[in-house]
Amino acid sequence: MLFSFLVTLREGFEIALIIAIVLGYLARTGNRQAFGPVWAGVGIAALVTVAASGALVVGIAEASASAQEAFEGVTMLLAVGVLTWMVLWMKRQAASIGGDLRAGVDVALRRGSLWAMVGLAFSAVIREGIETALFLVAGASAATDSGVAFIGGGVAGFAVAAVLGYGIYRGSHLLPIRQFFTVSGIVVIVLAAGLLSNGLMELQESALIPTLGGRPWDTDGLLSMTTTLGRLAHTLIGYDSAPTWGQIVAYWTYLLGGIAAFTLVRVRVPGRAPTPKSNAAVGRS
Amino acid sequence: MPNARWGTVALGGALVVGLLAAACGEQGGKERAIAITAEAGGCTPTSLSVKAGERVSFQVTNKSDQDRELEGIDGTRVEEVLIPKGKTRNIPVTVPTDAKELRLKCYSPAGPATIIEVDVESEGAHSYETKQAPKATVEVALDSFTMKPNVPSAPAGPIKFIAKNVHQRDVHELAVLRLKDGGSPENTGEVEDLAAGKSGEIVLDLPAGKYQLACLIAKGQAGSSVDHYQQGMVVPFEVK
Repeated sequence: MLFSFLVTLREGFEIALIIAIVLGYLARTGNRQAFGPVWAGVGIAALVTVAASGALVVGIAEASASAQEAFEGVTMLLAVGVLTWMVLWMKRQAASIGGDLRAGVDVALRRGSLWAMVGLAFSAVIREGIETALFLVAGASAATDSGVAFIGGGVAGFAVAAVLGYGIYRGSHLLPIRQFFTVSGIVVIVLAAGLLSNGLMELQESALIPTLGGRPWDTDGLLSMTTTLGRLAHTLIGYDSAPTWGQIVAYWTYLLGGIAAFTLVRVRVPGRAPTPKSNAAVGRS
Repeated sequence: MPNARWGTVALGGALVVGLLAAACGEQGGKERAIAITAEAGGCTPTSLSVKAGERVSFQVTNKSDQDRELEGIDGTRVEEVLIPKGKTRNIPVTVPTDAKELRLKCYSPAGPATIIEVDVESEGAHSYETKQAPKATVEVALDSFTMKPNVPSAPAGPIKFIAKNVHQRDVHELAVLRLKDGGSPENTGEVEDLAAGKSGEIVLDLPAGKYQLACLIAKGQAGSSVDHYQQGMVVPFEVK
C-alpha cells in the first residue's frame, strides 16, 4: 500500500504542480475563462489514460518499452517548449507591473497560447498517468489479497498530490503579483530544466537518439535513483545519478541561462501602461 | 488580508510535506544482496530464490557495452531502473508475503531482453528437497519438447531425480510438480536451466500421490521463443 501511495504521490505531484502553475498563471493574468478548456484537457487526458491503460492491460494494445520511452521523451521536450514560452511571458509581465500590485493583470490570451496551456496540462496527465495507471493495474492484479489496498494506496497518493497542488495554487494567490511571476518563473525554469534532462534520458533509453557522450560521474552512492527521494528528485528537478554529457550541458545551460536571463535581464515593455486592463481582448464570460 | 509571507509559507509548506511524505517511505534494515550480471548475451542468473517477506537488494552490474534497464513485469512491483554500462545499481525490494514469484525483465530497449524468475519460498513452507540418502533413482531425458523418465513411478520417500538435457541446442529444466485435488500444482523442486548436453540432479522427499515432470521454461526465458510446458514438455509421474 505504501509503495503504490508513494508512486502515485510522486507522479501525481508533478501533474498537480504543472496544473497549479497553469491555473495560477491564468488566474493572475485575468484569464479565468480559460480554466474550462484546461480542465477539459485534463479530464480528456484522464479518460484517455484510463482507456489506454485498460487496453494495454487486457492486451488489445501492446507498448514496447522503447515506444513508451520515446513517447515520454518527446512529450517532455514539448513541455519544455511550452514552459519556456510561459517563462518569457512571466518575464514580460513582471517587468510591466508595479512592485506590489496585488490584483491580477489582464493579459490577452491568444488562441494559440490557450492551446499551448491546454496541451501542457493534457500531456502532463497522459505522460505521468499512463505509466502510473499501468503500474497500479498490473500490480493489483498480481496479488489479489492485497490488490484493494494496493489500488487504495495509489488513489490516496493521487488525492494527496491533488491537495498539495491545490495548496500551491492557493498559496500562489497570496503572493503579490510581481513576486508570483518571479517565484513561479524560477520554479518553471527549474522544472523545465529537469524535464529537458529527463526527456533526453528517455530518448537515449529508447535508442531514438544515441547516448550523448560519456557519464562523467556517478553519485548513486550518495543519492540512489532507486530510493523514493532519488526518484522524487528525478521527477521534479531532473536528478540523474549518472547523466551523460549531453544531459549535463543541456540541463545547466538551460537552468543557468534561464535564471540569469529571468533575473538579470531588464525587459522594457514599450507602450504598456501600468494598468494593462486595456489589453483584455479575449471575450470574457 | 494575509500578506506575501503566508503565500510563501503555504507554498514551502506544501513542498516540504510532499517531500517528507515521500522520503518517509524508505525503510531501514538489513538486506540480502543478490548479484545479477548483464552481459552482451543477456542477464544472469535467470532464476533466483528469495523468501516471502524478505528484504533483498538486487545488485545489478552491467558488463555489456550498452545501457540496460531492469523492471518488474507481470505484476512484480519493481520500478524501472537504468543501469548505465559499466555501472552497478542496487535495487532494494521487499518481497511481498503473498507473492509466489517475482519476474524481472532485464533489457536494453534496442537489444535483447532476459526474464529473470525469482521463486518466492513461503515462510514455513514444506521443503521437499532433502539431504537423505535416496531410496530410488529416476533418470529423465529432456528433449525439445519431450520429457522421458526411465520409470513411470517410484516409491514414496527420498527420490533422486537425474535430469539430462539430450537436446543439441535448447536449454531445458526438470520441475517435479505435485498435483493436489482442487489446487494448483506445487513445485516440489527443480533442476534448473540445463544447457544442451548437461545433466543435473536433485533429491526430493516425496509423499505418495500424483505428480508431473515438466519443463517450465517460458517464452523469453533462457533464449526460448516458446513456452515449453505448452509445447507438451510434461509427463505424468506417480509416487506410490
